[in-house]
Amino acid sequence: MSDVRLTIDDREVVVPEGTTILEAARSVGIEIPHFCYHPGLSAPSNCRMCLVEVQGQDKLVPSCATAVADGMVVRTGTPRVHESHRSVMEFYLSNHPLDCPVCDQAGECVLQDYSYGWGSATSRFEETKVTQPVKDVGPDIVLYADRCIMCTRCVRFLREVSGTGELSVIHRGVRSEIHVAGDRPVTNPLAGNIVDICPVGALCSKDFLFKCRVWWLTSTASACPRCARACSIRVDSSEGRILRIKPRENAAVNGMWICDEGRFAFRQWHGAGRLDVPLVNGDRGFTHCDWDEAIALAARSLRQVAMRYGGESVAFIGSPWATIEENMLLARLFVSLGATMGSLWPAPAESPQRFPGFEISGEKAWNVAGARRTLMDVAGQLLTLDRLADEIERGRVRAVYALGGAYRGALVPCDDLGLELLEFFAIQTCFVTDKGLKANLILPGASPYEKVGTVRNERGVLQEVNAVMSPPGQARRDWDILMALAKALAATVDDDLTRAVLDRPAAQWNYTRSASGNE
Amino acid sequence: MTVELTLLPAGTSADHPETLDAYQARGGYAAWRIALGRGDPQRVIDEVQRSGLRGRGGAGFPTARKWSFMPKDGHGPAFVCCNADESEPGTFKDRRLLEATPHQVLEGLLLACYAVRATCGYVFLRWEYPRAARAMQAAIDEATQIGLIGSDVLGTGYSVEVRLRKGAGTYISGEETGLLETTEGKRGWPRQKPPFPAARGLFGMPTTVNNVETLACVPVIVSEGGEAFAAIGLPGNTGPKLYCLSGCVRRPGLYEAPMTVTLRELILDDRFGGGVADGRPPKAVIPGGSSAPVLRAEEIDVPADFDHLQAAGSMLGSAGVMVLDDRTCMVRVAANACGFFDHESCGQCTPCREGVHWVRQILDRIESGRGRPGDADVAIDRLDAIAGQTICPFGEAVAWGVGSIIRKFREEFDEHIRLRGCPFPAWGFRSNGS
Amino acid sequence: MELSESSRQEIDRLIATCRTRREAIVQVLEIVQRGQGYVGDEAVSYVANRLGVGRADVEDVLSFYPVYHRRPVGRFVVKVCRSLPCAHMGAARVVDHLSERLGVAVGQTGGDGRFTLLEVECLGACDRAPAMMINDDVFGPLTPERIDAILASLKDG
Repeated sequence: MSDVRLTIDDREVVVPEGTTILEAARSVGIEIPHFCYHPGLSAPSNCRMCLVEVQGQDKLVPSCATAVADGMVVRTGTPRVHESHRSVMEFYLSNHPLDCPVCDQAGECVLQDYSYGWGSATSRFEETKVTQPVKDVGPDIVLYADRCIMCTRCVRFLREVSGTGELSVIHRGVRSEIHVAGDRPVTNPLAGNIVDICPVGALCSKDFLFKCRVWWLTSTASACPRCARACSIRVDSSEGRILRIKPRENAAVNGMWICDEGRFAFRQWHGAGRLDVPLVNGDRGFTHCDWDEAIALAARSLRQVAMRYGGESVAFIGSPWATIEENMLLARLFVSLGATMGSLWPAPAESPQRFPGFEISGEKAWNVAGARRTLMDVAGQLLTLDRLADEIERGRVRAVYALGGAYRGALVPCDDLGLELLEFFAIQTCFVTDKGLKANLILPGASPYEKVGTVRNERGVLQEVNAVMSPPGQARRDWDILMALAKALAATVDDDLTRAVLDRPAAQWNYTRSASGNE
Repeated sequence: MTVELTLLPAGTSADHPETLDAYQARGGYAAWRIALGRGDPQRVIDEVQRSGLRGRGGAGFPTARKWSFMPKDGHGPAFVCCNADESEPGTFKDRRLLEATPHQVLEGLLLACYAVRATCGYVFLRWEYPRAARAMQAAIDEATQIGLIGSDVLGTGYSVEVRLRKGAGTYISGEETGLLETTEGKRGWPRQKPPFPAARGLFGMPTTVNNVETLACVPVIVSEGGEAFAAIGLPGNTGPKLYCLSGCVRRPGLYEAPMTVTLRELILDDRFGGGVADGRPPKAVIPGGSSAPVLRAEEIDVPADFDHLQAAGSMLGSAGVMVLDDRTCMVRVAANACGFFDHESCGQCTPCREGVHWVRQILDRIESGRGRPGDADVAIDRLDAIAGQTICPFGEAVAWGVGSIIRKFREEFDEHIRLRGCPFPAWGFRSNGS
Repeated sequence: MELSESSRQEIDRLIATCRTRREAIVQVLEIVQRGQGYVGDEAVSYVANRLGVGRADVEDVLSFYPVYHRRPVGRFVVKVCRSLPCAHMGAARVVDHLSERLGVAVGQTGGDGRFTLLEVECLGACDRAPAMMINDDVFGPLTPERIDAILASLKDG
């Protein structure tokens, strides 16, 4: 495909043939206002907000649906174009309830933003507004139909990306409305995206509804821990609590979408039941202990086993829920103790879910690839859990130290490991359940939203992970726990080790801009 | 045998649709045989080019040029759609053609298909014309039976099918891309152009959409020659034309005339409308259906053709000539017309969806005595803001049609507002005074 | 929903001439309504299943086109044209007269199930204004007397 050369607002622009004017303008930082256009969907050009002037054409043209042509001269800021924007905004606002004070979208509403640019403080509309009901759209989605501007992004998403088609437009003219077809609510695994792409406050998340004004939110760029795709996400929190999660656009990872499992995955790590104190298993079962005690116990036990049976009798198990750095530190630390055997908890496996425009991985942890590759790099080999169980049974492994960190309900599969044969087993994790870990020591680690580091997804893309909050209670970041252990094991960790770990391959991070509601 | 150069053959009516035999007896399907015999689709286009035929659906686009946009080297399916979705208030010419002489329309469609190398013709017929649908289906079946439609027609190697599809009561399905969407079984939301139907039309294939009357002109052009057709009327406005006369005329009805006829003649001449009903003076004439800008009584000495009406600030449109006498309330006319467009707006584009409803409410208020100073200005401003801003020409239709009434009869709007009510009589049962 | 054998055959014949599954929706709904008088929820499911399309697609189409009835209608569906030529010639009075004679308001169906009274846009019978359509037939120009005569001439069944 050849390049096309055109002029937009007196700037020379070169884009591939077939690019639309809107996208060409965007490529040089000229933002043409729009409602119905979305880069991930077809362009119906129904909102008429993106009309611009093209030299030689009588009418303004919809920039979202007009392909560039060689020598085209486009103007996006002439009085005529501004008048068109103002006029379309007046039409939009005529039937809009203007209930911004109680609208969840206020502060991140495209209609509101454009009103600032092209709206009027007074209205010439003296007629009766068309009113529409509030509709229940799905388990987490409510439609304030009055606010709907009929851009049809939601309808198109459900037809083109999820392929589930639950919503349609019914009726016509000013009585057009978004309709839940056949009483089939929007329950598909990608449903939440329609809330994100709604440019106004029509589709709202019930979970987030009336929780927080968006301008009080702190946004943190991170990756989604829920599956091996590790979608780029933006975590919105307030006062140390996660309130919602939205996708960040990243062509190499998730495009523009995330699934609802990932959107609400934070619930699986947060709330009641989180481990928040170190637990030591003694005569009276598990009891609380303080960190100094816990770390000292771990160091003492590991050293004893290593002295008695040799360093190779100490094994480690990395975690697909831990970052590359944490897995690397774990492996280096134990290799420096003389360990030769390491393993990796497998991520829970489900069937992948495929949609016309998205795929959810069946491997249910974000850093499977990163953990495996890191552990292999450091240890040279990686045992399967079965092999490790074998080694334990044959008495060649006497102590195991593990990173856990799984979400609730996805316990690491300890049962068949023969842990009862070990002299010492310790694990850093988030939950203890009654199935019970036959551990001597359980150390409260951090959830994926509480740590800093890097993960590698199933396609090999590295992404930076950022902490949204601190671990609860006395729980600590897994990196810090490992560093404390290393220190207690006395100087076996030198600066070189931490430098090697911390000298992260920043250049390889695929770290892209934040996505907002209006992409 | 001489073929009468007319669109409405004598002796045909809706009650007596022309039979296949009768149609053939007056030279029907001769053109189809001639065209196939010549074996060159381009010659059909050339003949139509010589005739000067312009589309009778509303826009008046030269038919031969429209056909020439179709790819000449296409291999896949290509279509011609006969637009029989006549829905413009004031228009009933296509109904008569379809009901009275369906074979003539069908032959025109077949010739169009051949001209653009289409593999299938569709007749898209509005739901409100069940009698026309029956007549057209019967014509298709008859023509198929005697081998004029089907594979390898008359041994020429050309194959063509014709399918009848019914609309479901929407004006917008008469817009050419709305028609394509409805034919595809979707809501009739017009498509953004480009791509034009000749490039990507029905089912994504090259498609030409032609009006019923346009197609009805084609057989005679092919059989008698384009020059004979062009000899009627003036250059650029050639051939016989059907006019739909309604409103306050003595003899409303469908009349055929060359386009040299003036609006005044159509209304007053005894060959046509025979004068304004009840002997009253005319106040206004809408010459081309609800979308056409209104003309005041003093503006009707104008030939009812494409170019003169355009020069007069209106358009021939669908040739639905609506006559309004001096007792007619123009505010009510505007409110009614706007009510029609409000009902028919597909709702896709924001300016049309929101704007038409807004203006309709303003006009209803003025008519019912609740108008406020400034209302008419807001209505005009909003209508102007719809024109040119929408995907399809519906925006212009409402802006020009309704807007012209407000502009040309502004004094009546102001009077309504001043009087807080309508000074004209209600619209009761009216005989046409004949 | 009981669809007659002839309707089913008509649908089969129609589908055979369609290029896509969707294409048939508008046409099949017309056949269903002709057979049933209206398009109820069961009919929507039937059409969706018969054509292999989603209910959403059917409802989307159904709601866009005004000729479809979602509820049962009378044996005679009376549609009075309200577009300009007919309005100007007294369409509102036609509606009043019919409403009074039939005891039915616009948009309603009489208790005996005989008549449904509707206002519609242009019927393309402007030369016969004011005009109305009863089932498949157009009548006009209407006067009160003419309307009474037409109503009297309607035969059930």
